Amino acid sequence: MPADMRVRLHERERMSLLGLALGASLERALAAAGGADLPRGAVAIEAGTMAVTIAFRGDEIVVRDGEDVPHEAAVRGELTPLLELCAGRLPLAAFLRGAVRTSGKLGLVLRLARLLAAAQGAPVSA
Amino acid sequence: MSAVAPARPAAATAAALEADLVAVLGRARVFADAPLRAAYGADRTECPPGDPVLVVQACTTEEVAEVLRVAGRHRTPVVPRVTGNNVGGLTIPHEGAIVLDLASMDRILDVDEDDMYALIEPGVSWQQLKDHLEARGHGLRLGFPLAPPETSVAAGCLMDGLGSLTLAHGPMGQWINGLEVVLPSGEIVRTGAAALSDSWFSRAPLPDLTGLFLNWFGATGVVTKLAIQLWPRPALRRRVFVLGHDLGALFAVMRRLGRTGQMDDVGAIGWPAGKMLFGVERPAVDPAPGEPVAYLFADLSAGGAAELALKGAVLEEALAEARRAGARLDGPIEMDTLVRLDPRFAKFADYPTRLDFLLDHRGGGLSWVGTYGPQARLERAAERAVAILRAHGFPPLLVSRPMRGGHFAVLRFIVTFDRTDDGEAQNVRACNRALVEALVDEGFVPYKMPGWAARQLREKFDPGFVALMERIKKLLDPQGLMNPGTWWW
Repeated sequence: MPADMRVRLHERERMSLLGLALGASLERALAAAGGADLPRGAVAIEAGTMAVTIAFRGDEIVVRDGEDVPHEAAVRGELTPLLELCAGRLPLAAFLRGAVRTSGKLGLVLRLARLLAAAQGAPVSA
Repeated sequence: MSAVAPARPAAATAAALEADLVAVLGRARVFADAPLRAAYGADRTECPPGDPVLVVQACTTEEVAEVLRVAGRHRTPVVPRVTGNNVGGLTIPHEGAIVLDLASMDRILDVDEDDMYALIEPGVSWQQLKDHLEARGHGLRLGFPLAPPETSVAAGCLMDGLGSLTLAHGPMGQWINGLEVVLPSGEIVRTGAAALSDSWFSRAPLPDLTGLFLNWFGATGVVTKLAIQLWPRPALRRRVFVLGHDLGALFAVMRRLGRTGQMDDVGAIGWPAGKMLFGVERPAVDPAPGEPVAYLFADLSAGGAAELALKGAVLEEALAEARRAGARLDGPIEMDTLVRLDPRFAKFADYPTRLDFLLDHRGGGLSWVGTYGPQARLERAAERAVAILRAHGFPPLLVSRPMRGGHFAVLRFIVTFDRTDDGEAQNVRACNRALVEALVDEGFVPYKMPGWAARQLREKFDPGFVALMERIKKLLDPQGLMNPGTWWW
């Protein structure tokens, strides 16, 4: 991880609560993960009616509202289980009943989940 | 009755006043230095600051009585104050007034387990009373406002604010069992059952003289003791949030939950609160695309798991019914999920809480227009108020709750601003005046009514009500010395 890796919120004043919360989680995760191998690429997260894209680009992680940015993976579903995912827990039951769906590179989603779990100071758990 | 606003006393008169107060309180509790006077002369609001002639600290009822006698002899106004956090300019002193600081009167005199009340002095804070109850193992709790933990329990009650148990028990003024009050003459009176009994168990069954001091903001006397109701502390507690995408639908759920009798508290908070929690000082005036317009919160408590599950089922059924009617609702989301997502959400997890995003920002200004009103008109009133806020460049930070079993509701709009910027302060004043006009037009009544709002609305009040208030004021405070600037004096 570059030493000066940082999280940037695109148009912070207009950012949705989902984007703000994810941005804060990623900042804590960066601080906790140390030199951990970060994901590469972009993941769109659509939780309820809010959508955010997280793009790992060089020395920064860019969080934007919406999912109209090119992305390699997407997670969509109900807000509650996706908040669990953002809080570092894999909501397996929600995946199984179809309340959460993924598309694109599943590995990228799992690496993002592991990174977010680092913000909790714990490995990702089910 | 016209406003008193006596001029600042001449130097010789001020020196004589100071000498008399020093004789009562001692040199160490009478302050005349400019920086301290300036600190007591302002609050967080857009209201212009005042300049008191002196600040004095009283520690006992007898000292309060002596201060009022001295002030009466010198015909000097008195402004009672604890922390000055009322957000309505209600303790900003008029030029030449004495500020009577009651913060040192902070004793918890009694907790009655059987009749469930605490007898406290005006300086007792929410955090202090909570800690006291928990440390001594009392199985009792109190309701809390969304005010900083260090603010005064008595002041909150006497200004009829709202709190975490107002759904069940009404606004805080109704939590008062009785008062000890020093009248402007220096006489000391008790109200409530304690006027006859050695127990402060109730306001009933005597004539309710407590009302002479409730919502008068110190204009009829200084409260030196207050008995506040407490309630049994349940073993289990659960707080959830529901995200709503339509304010009307969210109000409908709130109303329905409010009248089930199963919720400790339920209410709605506008979307800007979430953003401000994450450090966005000035959110845009519109939510992001797809973002909820408000968050519904519900507090449930119970003596055991089965009871809590039943109350949870009542909540779920209300949400399901709203969804069947077409409402778009996300959740419920458990409080601990939000705290795991970000520790800052813990500010919403327990009371009392310090919402620092409202207090610690550039310029530090905080103001609001808060009203109580009919629930059936919430949507229309909120719609008008939100349009006014947007027109003045403020995001719609709304708070609403059903009150006293769902008989009425609170509707409040909060703005933060830069107090050092005169233009912003003027914009807040204009916005608040427009909000008051619109909300009163919809049948809502401001609470903790600032003096500017009382004067703005005077012609709209029932004339008999105004005349009676003025007669009572004249009877109790014939010199018109108590907290000038509030109401119509």
